[in-house]
This record gives sequence, C-alpha cells and structure tokens, in this order.
Amino acid sequence: MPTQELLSPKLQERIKELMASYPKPQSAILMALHLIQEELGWVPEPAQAQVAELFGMPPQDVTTLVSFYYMYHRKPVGRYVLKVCKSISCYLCGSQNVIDHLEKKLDIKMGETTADGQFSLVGSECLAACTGAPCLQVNDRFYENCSQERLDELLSRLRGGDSHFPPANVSWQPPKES
Amino acid sequence: MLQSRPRRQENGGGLMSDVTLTIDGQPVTVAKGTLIVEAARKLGIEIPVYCYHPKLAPVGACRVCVVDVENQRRPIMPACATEVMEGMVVHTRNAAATRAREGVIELLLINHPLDCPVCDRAGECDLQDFTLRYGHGQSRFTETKRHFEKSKQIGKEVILDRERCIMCMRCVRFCDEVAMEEGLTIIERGTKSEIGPFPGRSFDSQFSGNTVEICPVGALTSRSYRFKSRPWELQNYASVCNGCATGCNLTVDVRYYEVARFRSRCNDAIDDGWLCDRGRYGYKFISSPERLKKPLVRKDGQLVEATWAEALEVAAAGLKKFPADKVGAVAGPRLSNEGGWLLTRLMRGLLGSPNLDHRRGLAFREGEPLKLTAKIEGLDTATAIVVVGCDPTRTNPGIDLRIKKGLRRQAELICIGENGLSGYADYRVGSLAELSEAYANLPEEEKKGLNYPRPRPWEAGGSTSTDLEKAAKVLKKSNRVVFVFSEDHPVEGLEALAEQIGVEAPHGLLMLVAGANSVGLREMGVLPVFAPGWQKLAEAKEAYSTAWGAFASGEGADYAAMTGSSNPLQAMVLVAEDKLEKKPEFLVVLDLFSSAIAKQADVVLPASSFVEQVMTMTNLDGTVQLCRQALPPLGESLPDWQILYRLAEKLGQKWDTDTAAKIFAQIGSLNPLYPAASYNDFQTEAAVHWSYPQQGKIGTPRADLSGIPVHRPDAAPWMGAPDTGSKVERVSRLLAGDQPPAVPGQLDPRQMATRLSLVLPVVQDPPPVPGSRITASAGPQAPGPSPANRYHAIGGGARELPLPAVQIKQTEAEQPVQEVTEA
Ligand code: SF4
Ligand code: SF4
Ligand code: FES
Ligand code: FES
Repeated sequence: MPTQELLSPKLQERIKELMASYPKPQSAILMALHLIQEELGWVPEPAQAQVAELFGMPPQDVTTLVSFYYMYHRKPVGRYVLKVCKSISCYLCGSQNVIDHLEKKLDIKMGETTADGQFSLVGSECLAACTGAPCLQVNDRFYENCSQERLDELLSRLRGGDSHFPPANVSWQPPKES
Repeated sequence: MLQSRPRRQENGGGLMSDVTLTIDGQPVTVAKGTLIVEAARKLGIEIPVYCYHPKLAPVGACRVCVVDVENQRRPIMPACATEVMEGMVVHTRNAAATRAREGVIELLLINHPLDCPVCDRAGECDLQDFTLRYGHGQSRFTETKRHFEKSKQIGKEVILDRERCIMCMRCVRFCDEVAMEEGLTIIERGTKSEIGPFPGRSFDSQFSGNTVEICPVGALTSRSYRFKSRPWELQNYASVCNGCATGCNLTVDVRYYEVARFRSRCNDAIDDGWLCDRGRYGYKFISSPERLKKPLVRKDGQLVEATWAEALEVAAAGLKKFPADKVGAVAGPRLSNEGGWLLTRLMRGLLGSPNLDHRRGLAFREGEPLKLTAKIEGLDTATAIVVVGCDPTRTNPGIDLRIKKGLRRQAELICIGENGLSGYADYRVGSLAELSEAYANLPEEEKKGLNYPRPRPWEAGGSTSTDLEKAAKVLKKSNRVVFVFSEDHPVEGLEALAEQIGVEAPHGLLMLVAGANSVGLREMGVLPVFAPGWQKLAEAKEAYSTAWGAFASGEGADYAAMTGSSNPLQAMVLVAEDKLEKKPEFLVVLDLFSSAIAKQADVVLPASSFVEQVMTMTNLDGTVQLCRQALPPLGESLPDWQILYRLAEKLGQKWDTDTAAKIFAQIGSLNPLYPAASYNDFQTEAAVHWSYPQQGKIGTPRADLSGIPVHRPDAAPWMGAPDTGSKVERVSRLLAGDQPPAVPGQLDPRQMATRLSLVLPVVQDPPPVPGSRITASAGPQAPGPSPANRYHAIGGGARELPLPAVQIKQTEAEQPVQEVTEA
C-alpha cells in the first residue's frame, strides 16, 4: 500500500535528526510521534505507516504505541483537548464527577469532539499532579482541584477566547483562607 | 520490504555448565540457562503455560505458570521466564503456587465469553483444560464482560474472536520473531486491548496459519476448518507435506473419511514446528470433485470410462507396440519413492528403455551428483548464509523461516540476486563469481569476530551493505556456511567456493529442488544417465539384471528432449506430469486430475494422492520420510506404484514387490544410498536415512546417525494405531451407532475403540483426566514422542500424559495389491 506523503520534508528532516541523536535510532519513535502530532494535530494511520518506514519498523509496531499511549490522538481533535485524569488519586477524589460534568456541559461523550471543533474530551493516566486531584490538562496546561464551579469557569474563559487560560506551568493555588 | 524492531539474539548453542535443582522434591540436572518450565518438563511435571511457547522467546505475560521458589524475596515466580539456579527449590503444587495459579485463572476468565459449545478449540483448548485442572471453579466477578463483534476476518485465512483472546501474545511474537514480517500486534491498552493487524490492512502472511495453530484458545481460527469438526472426532495420521521439497512434517486430521485439516507435527530437524499456508491449507484438492475416479480409455476419438482390466490391457498393448528405444517415461516430482522405483523397473527392467526422467532444474549435471549437501538444521548454526539465484520465500517457505532463524542467531546473510529475503541481507553482491574472487583475494588469516550487537538490516537502524570485501570476510568467519540455491543454478562455482571454505556437514549446499520428491526420484533412478543411487549405469547393470531379470543400461532421452517439441518417442508413460509439447503416438497418463495433457492421452489411469497411500519421500536435504495412509483411495484410484505393478502384470511380469513395504525393502537391498532400508526403520530413533552423503563423497555409507535427534511419527507410523489423540470419553460414542465401512489397512473406529477401552485400566498415575488425550503406540517397545516434540504435536500447549502401550498389528503397509472390483 503506498503511504500517502503526510509528513512534510521538514518534519522528516527533524525526525531523522532525532533518530541520529539516540544510540539506537528506534528510541526516537515516541518523540517522532509527538512531532507528528504537533504538526498534524493528531497521528493519522498513513502517518503511522510512513513513520514506520522511516524507522524501518513494521507498521503495526507503531500502531501499538500510538494506541497504547493516551497522549497520541488517533482521531482529529478540537482546539482544546481536555485530558481528564482517571488514575487512582483523581478517581478517589471524584474524577467521575469531572467527566460527568464535562460530558453534560459540552454535550459530548468521552473521546468525542464538540461540533464547533472547540473541545475534545479524553481520558488520561496519572498526570503526576495528584496533589491537585481531581485534575485535568487543557492541551498541555494543568488545571487542578476541578470542582464543578472551577470547571464552569474553565469552560467559560476558554469559550470567551481566553486562550491563555489556565496559565502555562503554573499550578493553581486555592485562595488563602482569610 | 518490511523490517522489524530489534529483538533478542538467540543463543546459537555452545557448551553450558549444568545446574542441579529440586522440583516438587525431585532433583534434576539441566544446562545453565534452562527455564524452570523446561526443567520440570524433563521430570514429567506439568506446569501449565499460555504465553510460553518453546519456539518463542519467553515474555511472562499470562502468569499461569507461577511456581513457588524457596528463599526468594518474591517467592511466586513465572516458571516460563525464570532460569534455573544451583540449589533452587521449586514447588509447583504447594498451597502458595496453587492459590496463585487459581487467582491467575480466575482473572483470565473474567472477560472470557466461555462459549465453548460453539468454539472450534473446545476439546483441545488450553484454557478449558487448565481451568479444569488448575482453576478454582468459582469466580467472584459479577460485572459485565467486555464485548466485541464475535468474529472478525483479519486475513485471508484467519478469523479473530477478540472476546476469547487471553493476550498471550503468541501470535504477535510469531509474526515478530519467527516470520519477521508485517503481522499482528496489540492495539489499545488494558481491558480494551485487542489483537489486530495494522488498521485497514489484512493479515495475509504466508505463514498466518501458524498463529492459528499456536493460539492457546479459540481466539484465532482458520476459515478452512471453522465449524468443521470437534477435535475428538478426528483421527490423526502422521504425514509429510508434499507442497514443496522442504518436507515439513504434518498431521493429517481425518473426520469421517475426509481431511478436516493439516497440522504441524514438529520436527526440529526440518520444519521447526511451522508450516506455510500453502502446505497447511493445500489439502482441498484431495476431495476435489475434479479428481479422476475411474480409468479412461480413448475410443473413437473420445476418452470414455473403462474398467481397470480394460484400461491396463490397452495401455500394455500400446506400449508393447513400439520398439523399446521409442518408448519413454516422464514423472512429475510428486511421485513417491516407491512409485519412482517401479517406474525405473518398468522402463529399464521390463520395457528395456533408458528413456526416463523427471521434471527437474536446468542445471542438472550429467556427470555427477551434487556434493557437500547441507542439512536444513545447518542453517541454525551457520555463521554465513548465501542465497543465490533462488527465492526460498516463494518456492520453499519452510526454508525462508529457517534462514530467518539462522539470522536471529548468528548468521549473516549474503544475497545474490533479488529474492524475498533481500531486505534482510547484511550484504548484497552482484554475482557469485565476484564473491568467490573477493574471497580468494582475502589475506590468508583474515578472520573477523562476530561484532554483535549492532543493528542488523532487518532491525530499525540497520542497513544492507554492498561492500564486496566485507561480504567475503563474512565467509571467513568460520566454515559454517550454507549456500542456498535453486536447481536451475549451476553448481560448479558453488562447490568450488564451498570446498575452499572447507564446509562440513551439516553445512554446505542446500539445493532447492523443484518438487516435493525430486530428490527421491533422482535417487530412485528416474534419470536417463544414472542408475538408482547415483550409480553409473554400466556398474549397476549386473546387480539389477539379476534382481529384475534385465536392465537397459544405455543413456536415454532426458526431460527436455521428451517434453520438448522435437520429442523423438512414439509411446510414453506420463506420471503426474503436465508438460508435453509433442504428443507421441501412444500416451498413457497417471494422474490425480485431468490435465490438458491427460485430455490428449490414449489411456488415463487415476492415481491416489499422498494421503491415500503409504509412501516415502526424500526431501531436499536427503531425509527420507514416511507418509501414512489416512484415507482410502478416492473412487477407483490407486497408488501410482500399484498402477505400475499392474501394468507390469499385463506386460507379462509378476513382480514380487506387491506391497509398499516390499518395494521399500527392495530399494534397501539394491540402492546403495538406502542400505538395508525398511519400513521398520521409521520406528526407531536413527530411522531416517540420509541419502546424500555427509562428507561429500558418493557411495560412502550414511553417517552414523546416533546422536542426531530425529523426529518420527508418534507411533509406529504405518500401523493402524492413531499416532496421537483419541479421546477417552469418545470411546463409548464410537462403539455406538453406525460407522462407515472399514478401510483396508485403516483401523476401524469400532475396533480402535475396543482396543483403547481395553487399554484404559493400564493408565495410572495420574489417571486420565476427562478431556485429556492418550496416545496409542504400536509394538511393545514403540518409543513415544520425546517430550519436546509431544509438546508441540498436540495443539499449542503442553500436555503431558503417560503413554499406554497398545499392540495393534494391523499394517496397511503390508496390504498386498488389492483386487479391484471391476464394474
Ligand atoms: S489471539 Fe490467541 S495467540 Fe494471539 S494473543 Fe490472543 S490468545 Fe494469544
Ligand atoms: S514449506 Fe514446503 S513442505 Fe513446508 S509446509 Fe510449505 S509447502 Fe509444505
Ligand atoms: S491520579 Fe490523577 S494526577 Fe495522579
Ligand atoms: S507467564 Fe509463564 S506461561 Fe505465561
């Protein structure tokens, strides 16, 4: 099957550079998949086949990775991907409520994208932010202690065009008790 | 070309020190590096396994093999992934191990649909059997099981039921480690995991059937066998694939006089436990409605059905009409050794014609036979494999897998010319002459050590080099070099290079001959320039004249001359051959199907297939193997040798070789390559005859084979006893009700049942579990299969049960030529 050329020459160059920087070139596969997702927004199957060829791997070996890690999207996603942590700390602190609330507010199910292409809702393994459980990520920015109110605030600020919310790499602190 | 991710380099052997440990109170000494599960097997202790498979690298994925090891920080260890250590004390059945195993089985069953009533595997399923033997019997799981679409066709032959899959990864590892090509993988994670090929692609590997065979449950099933039978309804017969000259061993499973499936019958020396799909699913022709069932004779320009007597009469009269030097015979390579032998006798002994040959390659050397023949096993230990002018992937898939096994160990691959393995080649060079020259130019003591680990071409990051000098250096690493080539490739250059390298058996030249029994026919003398056993015609004349009454020792017309457009012959016998450009005046055809040539023939005689007769074949590395009769001949068809025997009768000679066994014994008495050969040989360990000499000189007696492990059919092969697998609880069913009529030479199911039931009280310790298999073996001392082979011979898992001895003296091989009922 001829692989559709999905990876731009520039991207292929970057992947080859990455491969050269590891003692074993195939160690670069996860990073390469991230680069692809950065450029295309997701990792379509033809891209998986093409990157497999670059690495000299059978294509199913790439599929197994892409489907194993939740960070890779196997479908097109919206502008904001809400990755709700489903691992143990967040689960105990009510991640199911977070999911239920977001599903209701966005009128989509887990794994789906809103019709306007703004939001996608996906699950995630432990985000290593258990102190702020239940938590989620908006693309790669953290949003913690997700009560219903805070979730509503998140959605309304993102809908309102505040694309810098929540601020990058700043863990949100609850207001100090006065 | 598809390459693959890096994988474990297999250990290519080498001496290892021994380790002594105790398992369930019994001491056992095994080589260092042995896995606990294998050490236990040596003691006859069963440890259940799912993901472990002796031909695949251990992964420790399923944990059903857990055992309790004393003095360990974590006492419960997977026996399939733990190497033995000196003084280790292992318990496979104590409370801790039992509890842990019960837990594992409970977990494995959580999502399992338990749809055994409609599952092909039921009756030979490891999940069923181990649940019965080791399961707790109760589950605490009350939630809903996961559901998938019930059956999903993932390849031409393979159907997947994801609900039944226990994620053992055997199929995945087979594609990755053994076939080393695009195939199956695990998609998704956790409870959502499922097996599948790359999305949107079909799993169409030519080895796909092996995944079905090694799947321990009913998750992978094959289209050909699906819903066809219950395993306990099958009678199993040891046979040999006749799809190509590799000669992979297989078991013919017969259900009510029809072949239900072929399975691998692991022979480490030949097939390593695998079959290709061409061989595995290539049985449908046997029951094809197109098969010839009655003799045909040309009357008034039309081929019309006739009786055997009539057809043979016409054939004999026709052949007698022409002078001997105008009569000839051509055989196709499916013909058995026995048939080939009688064909030679018919031509040279009876009709006095030297014109006989079989379909063979262009590079056949008139002067002398091939020297320095390698064994297939030699590929495992080779340091260099040179594939030249052939494509094993296409012609001999079994050899393709074996070359890959060599690559995983230590061999480097040099490819000359394009073939299915080119993508795996460490070196690609233009021609053999170039390579030989570069080799000759290397400094005398140039030796390069194995420089692993480094990425191989078939691993990510590896690449193929075209550096001629480096390629030549690979040949200097050791004399363990195997050259793989087709019979159209001239052998002189190869022999010269191999001689310079100083190759020794089991390495050397591996010629991929064109048909299943091409080598056998050569050795039976179906050649215009040699007597049987590669003897010079003049030298052989005396012995054969004495034995056969006469022997035409001239050189005759060869294959090309007889099948070409200037065919000089006036009368011909064509056996299983469909090439003939110029029809002679009188033509007799023996075949399974009515080919275009058969349609022009004057007499067409219906022949039986290889599962309908007892016969031997000699594979490409010279191993002689026996096929048992699994079915009665179709219609009025007869084994080729019987047809030739009768034809001789009509021509006025009554031969004394009126059974297959007698023919083979005569081969043993006259053919120097088969000294004292007898069907009895197939019962003993050193039974297999190497027809090619081991050390490169023709005429030397075969090497002493003691010590070379050779797989035999599980029971005395041609005897009436099924070689594996009669279900204990089936006995009563077999006794009840009507059965089809008994086949000559085949054990009547009723008879078998009686005998088996008589045997049951003999089985002790442990008593047979319902659902377990017993093996009936023939003869008082008939050796059972070695544990390693039995492992594989029965389904995918490891079932160890004592073998009761049962004496069944009926031998189909001793059936004389039968009187045919004339219509
Ligand atoms: S399909 Fe069969 S062999 Fe493959 S992982 Fe599942 S159970 Fe194992
Ligand atoms: S490799 Fe040849 S002998 Fe082996 S299974 Fe395939 S066709 Fe049969
Ligand atoms: S469990 Fe959710 S961040 Fe760790
Ligand atoms: S973990 Fe040992 S057999 Fe699966």
